[in-house]
Amino acid sequence: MSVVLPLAVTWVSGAALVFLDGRRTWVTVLAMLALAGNLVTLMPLLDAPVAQVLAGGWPEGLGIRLTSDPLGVMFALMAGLVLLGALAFEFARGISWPRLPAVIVLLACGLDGLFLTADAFNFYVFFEITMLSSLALTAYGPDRARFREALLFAFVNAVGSVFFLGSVAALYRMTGTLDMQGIERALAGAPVGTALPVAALLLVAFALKLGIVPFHFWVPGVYVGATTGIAAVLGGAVSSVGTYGLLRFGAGLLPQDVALAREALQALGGVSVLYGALLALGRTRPAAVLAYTAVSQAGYVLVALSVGGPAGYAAAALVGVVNALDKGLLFLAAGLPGRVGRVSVLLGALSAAGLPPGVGFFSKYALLRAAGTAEAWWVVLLVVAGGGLGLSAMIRLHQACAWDTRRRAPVTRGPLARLVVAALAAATVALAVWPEPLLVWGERVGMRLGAP
Amino acid sequence: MILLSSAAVASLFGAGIALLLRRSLVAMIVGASLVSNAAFVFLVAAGGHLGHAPIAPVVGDPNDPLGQALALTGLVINLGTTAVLVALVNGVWATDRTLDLDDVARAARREDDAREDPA
Repeated sequence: MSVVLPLAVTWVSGAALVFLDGRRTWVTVLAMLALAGNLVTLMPLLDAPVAQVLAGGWPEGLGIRLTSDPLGVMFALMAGLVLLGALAFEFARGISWPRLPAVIVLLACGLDGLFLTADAFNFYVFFEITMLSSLALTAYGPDRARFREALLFAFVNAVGSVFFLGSVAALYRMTGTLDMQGIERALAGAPVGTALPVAALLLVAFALKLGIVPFHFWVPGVYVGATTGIAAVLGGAVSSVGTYGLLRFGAGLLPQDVALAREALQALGGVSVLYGALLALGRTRPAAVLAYTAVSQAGYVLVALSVGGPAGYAAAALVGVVNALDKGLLFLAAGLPGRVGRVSVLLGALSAAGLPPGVGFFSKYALLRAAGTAEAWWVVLLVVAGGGLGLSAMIRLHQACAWDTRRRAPVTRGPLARLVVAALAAATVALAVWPEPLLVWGERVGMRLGAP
Repeated sequence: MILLSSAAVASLFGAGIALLLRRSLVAMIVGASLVSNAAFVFLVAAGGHLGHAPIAPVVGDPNDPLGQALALTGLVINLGTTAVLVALVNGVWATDRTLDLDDVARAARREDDAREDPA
């Protein structure tokens, strides 16, 4: 199955959907079919040997490479799943903007391209497509005040994109190629610290996307007040761009600089973990609690990256993927009143806190074991402390959802919304009961990234 | 030549950031655009400074045209981003009837305080 297929499916259907009225049922059904097709074309790529396609038939080294790297494919799958669930949930709520299904499918296209490309500038192009689609989504909703938050989000993202573009230009100047493998090979023999300014710029760009302290200031404003489905999209799918970028560009291209900045990454990540969890405890609105726990969970990715080596990178990838699934589930479940919503929030909260029967238990355990093997005792202490604080924040979340007395618009297609949330919750429990495929994938990714 | 292009990138970036820090939303849009343009000049400069334009027939050592191609792509993307920014500012205008960032922040704070449970 070709690597181009997921991109083609979402691109063509997204472009066609722009001209259709998304408030009609059949248009949304078409969009959901397109997203399901996206998932179906991505799944065979996961187990198959790594394939690559050179766009336009250009020779190796000149052409843009698309590759079905396991890291990229799993992130694309997870993001696609969250997008499908979010669109179904918004459909159950009632869509008020004709372009919503089209923009969500185009966002899926941008995310697919971003996760499947092996060319640095092509990554920038799909990064921008993703950003523009998510900006349009942030301004969606009945609350007129959405434009303020969307504007803040827009400026922050614009500056982040410029930093990323600057670092791509610097990498091209230094290595003479835009191909990620070519850059990795060219930088491998360079003296330590050559690409340090570039690494710093990339860290800022992806930390802005992920919401790590001190680049977290936009997170609460954007998530609180966003409609449930959009918050799930932003928290589950769009933020995983930051995790993937840190892994691909940090661990993949610039491992020497990651090792050099080990203490700084641990400090930044640690502050995020503790700050996010502490502030989440003081909030009463479910979306606000979730926004701050998103900041907290983002810190774990940085901490796992700082541990380094195949085990650390595997843990970082696992934490990132599980976090995307958790956030998607939690944002959707927090917006669903009723018993299904409460139980799903509880399951998602357990996973986010790192306890069984949540799949988050395995990702946090992988991080603990990697830190223990590398004898990074501060990291072990941080994960345990962060886990305790995170558990308190999650209990707070459950309270906030149960005591949420705001009058909300009734969900028009209640059974569909309940089905979506229950399916996502079942997925996390299923992964927790049978974590083998996920853990094997994590090891594979760790080996590929950590191989010298 | 390297000094000249570095000075260009630096002054564009500085001017853009200075505009981004102002109160007027329209100034902020122009600032974001300038900051992006600084990155594009950097991209073109990444193509080298040997001096000869990469246009056929090639005479001497030409600059690398790839930087210019990337800058063109970036300019088109920047057009889209600026369009979205202008649309969002238009939305803020429709909601708050002001283009002043301080007024927008004050309105947001007022709404936040009026809510029973602040975020």
